[in-house]
Amino acid sequence: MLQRLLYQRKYKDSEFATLFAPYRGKEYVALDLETTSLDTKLADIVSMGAVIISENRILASQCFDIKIRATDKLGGDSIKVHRLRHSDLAQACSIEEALPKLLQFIGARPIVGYNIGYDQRILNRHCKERYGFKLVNPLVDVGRMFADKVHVDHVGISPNQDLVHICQSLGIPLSGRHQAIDDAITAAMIYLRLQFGPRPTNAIPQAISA
Amino acid sequence: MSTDFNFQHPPFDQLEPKQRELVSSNLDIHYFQSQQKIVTAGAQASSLFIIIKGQVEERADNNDEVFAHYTLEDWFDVRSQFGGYAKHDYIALEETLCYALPSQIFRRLVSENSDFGDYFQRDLATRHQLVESREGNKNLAEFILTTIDERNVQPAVVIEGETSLQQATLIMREQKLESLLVNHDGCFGMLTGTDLLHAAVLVQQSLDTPVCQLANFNLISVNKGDFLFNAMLLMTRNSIERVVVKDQQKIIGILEMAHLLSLFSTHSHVLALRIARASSIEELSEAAHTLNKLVENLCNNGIRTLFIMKLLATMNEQIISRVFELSIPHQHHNHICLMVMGSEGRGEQIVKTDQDNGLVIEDGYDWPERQQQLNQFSEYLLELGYPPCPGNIMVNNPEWVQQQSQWSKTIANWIETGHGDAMMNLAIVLDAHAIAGNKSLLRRLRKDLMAQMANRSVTLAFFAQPALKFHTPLTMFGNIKSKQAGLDIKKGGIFPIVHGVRALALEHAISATNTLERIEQLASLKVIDEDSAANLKEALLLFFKLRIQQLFPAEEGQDYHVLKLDKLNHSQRDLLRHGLHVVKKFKQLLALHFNIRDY
Repeated sequence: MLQRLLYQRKYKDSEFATLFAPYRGKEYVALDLETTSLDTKLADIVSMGAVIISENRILASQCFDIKIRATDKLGGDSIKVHRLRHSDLAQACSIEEALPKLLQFIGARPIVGYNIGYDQRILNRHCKERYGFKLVNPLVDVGRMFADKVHVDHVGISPNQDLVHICQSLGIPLSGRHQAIDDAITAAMIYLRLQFGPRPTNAIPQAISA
Repeated sequence: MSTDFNFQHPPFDQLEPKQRELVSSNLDIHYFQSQQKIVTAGAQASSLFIIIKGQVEERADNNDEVFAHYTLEDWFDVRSQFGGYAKHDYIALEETLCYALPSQIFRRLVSENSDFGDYFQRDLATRHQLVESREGNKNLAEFILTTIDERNVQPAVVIEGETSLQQATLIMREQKLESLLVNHDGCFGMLTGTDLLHAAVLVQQSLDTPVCQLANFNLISVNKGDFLFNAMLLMTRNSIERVVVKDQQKIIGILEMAHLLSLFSTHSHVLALRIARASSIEELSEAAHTLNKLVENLCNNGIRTLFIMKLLATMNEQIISRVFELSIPHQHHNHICLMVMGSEGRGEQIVKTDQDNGLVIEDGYDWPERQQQLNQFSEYLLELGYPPCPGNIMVNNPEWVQQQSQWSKTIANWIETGHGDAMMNLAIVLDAHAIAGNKSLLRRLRKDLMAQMANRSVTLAFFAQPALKFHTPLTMFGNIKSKQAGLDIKKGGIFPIVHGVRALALEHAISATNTLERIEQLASLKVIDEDSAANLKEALLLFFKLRIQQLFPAEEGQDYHVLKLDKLNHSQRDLLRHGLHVVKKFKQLLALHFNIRDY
């Protein structure tokens, strides 16, 4: 809170002013990054996907979907995960171009995601290096949200927060392709389902027959 | 965006890559809670919704009538996409996720891509009428659905009965006719070139013989406005080459098989003729094995189920009676009667079914080599691709080959037993249909059965009971209930109607064996009211239709009675639900009518 006020003053005339303005809207942004490694200190961003959640809608038609030009850190292991080869990224833009666009898109909206703390740490590192600030948007982690809402059979057992498990137990279609935008949309669906739907149970429901 | 929108699903598979891109980049995702109203009647549409997950119900805005259910990959509301207003409310029955495609984008796609647009037009049309034929072989469908009128009837030339043989021949030659109508004191007869030849050359009649002695006065006629298809069946069934066409009582022309065949594309006629002309079991076998192909063709061309069943029944009947002629010497034919039973007897099969057949023999008729010849008959049918009957109801089983008085005793025994297999046997014989030999033998047998059953209400109730045995697959709230494996439409829908109607037909001594005909007769006797009769017929036809559609493309080892609900589109699912409700109501009526408790 205090951080936000400080930044608000510091950046009030920059392009990032909207990030720190008090947010009165009702929208959220679901975000997902594909990165070169799981180590937040080293990882580079390969692609960014973000989508706005407005009431009960996911505004997928106006989503943010950008691939970042390759750096030398794009190693073989992560290529296997999200199948973006160096050649695929040749058409993409640099992190210097993409980052401000993403921040514009997000604005001061709360950020929704699966394990969103990780994405936030990476964004923070990049923002800190380049602009000197960290993100102050509230975060909503859908894994956490699921764990809070789910009925547990025994108190004290921490519920399964695996993404596949969450999607199955909520009956949400899980995209099979590791792409930032698809994962962002999946996170958005989980958010809406948990926000508006009935309390989930930890059991996997039977497949619904028509 | 790059969502996982399924472009394999028709009609979206018709879209060009650019158009797919357009769809992808314009889709939003909406989430609705259970019981949330998605579209309100009277509102102008802004999007076409395609369901990702969940169930949506279309309801009249006063909530008293449910029109449809939509689920995975269904879309709604097409009607209001073209600038109109939503006619009904759309309500999420459970949590629902939908893609929303903006109406203006949808309209653009419809105008740009005619295949895509046609699909939606058709989808709308299917709600009113379920006959559609695909591209490619439209003429067949069109032909079969063509009715008889002046355009396809040859004018009939009428001559007086006193005309001489010679004059008639001249008239035929001059006018290049195949046949003439003979007016003899107001009666009309048919005179063909063959008749003239026969008279002049073989019987050596004098050339001034009046033609009224040669003509055939047993005219078979069809009416203007009938389907051509039915005329063809009639000719096939009676092995004749032409029929007279009447308008009310007036003769307006002649319809010739040869002419019909020239109109008729492909093989159904060829097949009929091949069957009729087969002189050996090998030739017959070739014909018989194309039957399934024919049915598939008709199905794929959107031909009405009723026609397909009629055609198949006729063809099967022809094949079996040919086999009968080929395996049993002619001198016996007048003293025995071959009957087919089960769905074949009712004329309701859509594939070559099991051999359900039996034989009635005249009392005291001596026929020593009978067993061997009947075995031969069953053997031949097997060769032609008719599988043996699991219950062994076949003429190579002596139990189903009896003399008339024996049959009478057997039936009496069944009636006395009054439950279980005996009742099922009774049901089987009740559907028997004579197809070869002396058909009056079966008629007498059935009369005897009806007489024995008259006024036996307790036995009747036992007879009717199996119709209520299977649970109708509807949930408490009137939605379709199905297992993972699918929905057994035979148990859930077809059997209850067929058997219930059979029981009512037995009670009222109705001689028809076809279920639809039985329903009509029951309605005319006021046993069932007109509305229920119409509903029952519609429901039964729909079940047949859905079952027939399961067959093509055929899957290995599938039970074609089990409907895969996920393969049905929403209007079909809708109709199915209505059909099952009809069954449910009918079962209640039966329980009440026959006083069956514990239902």
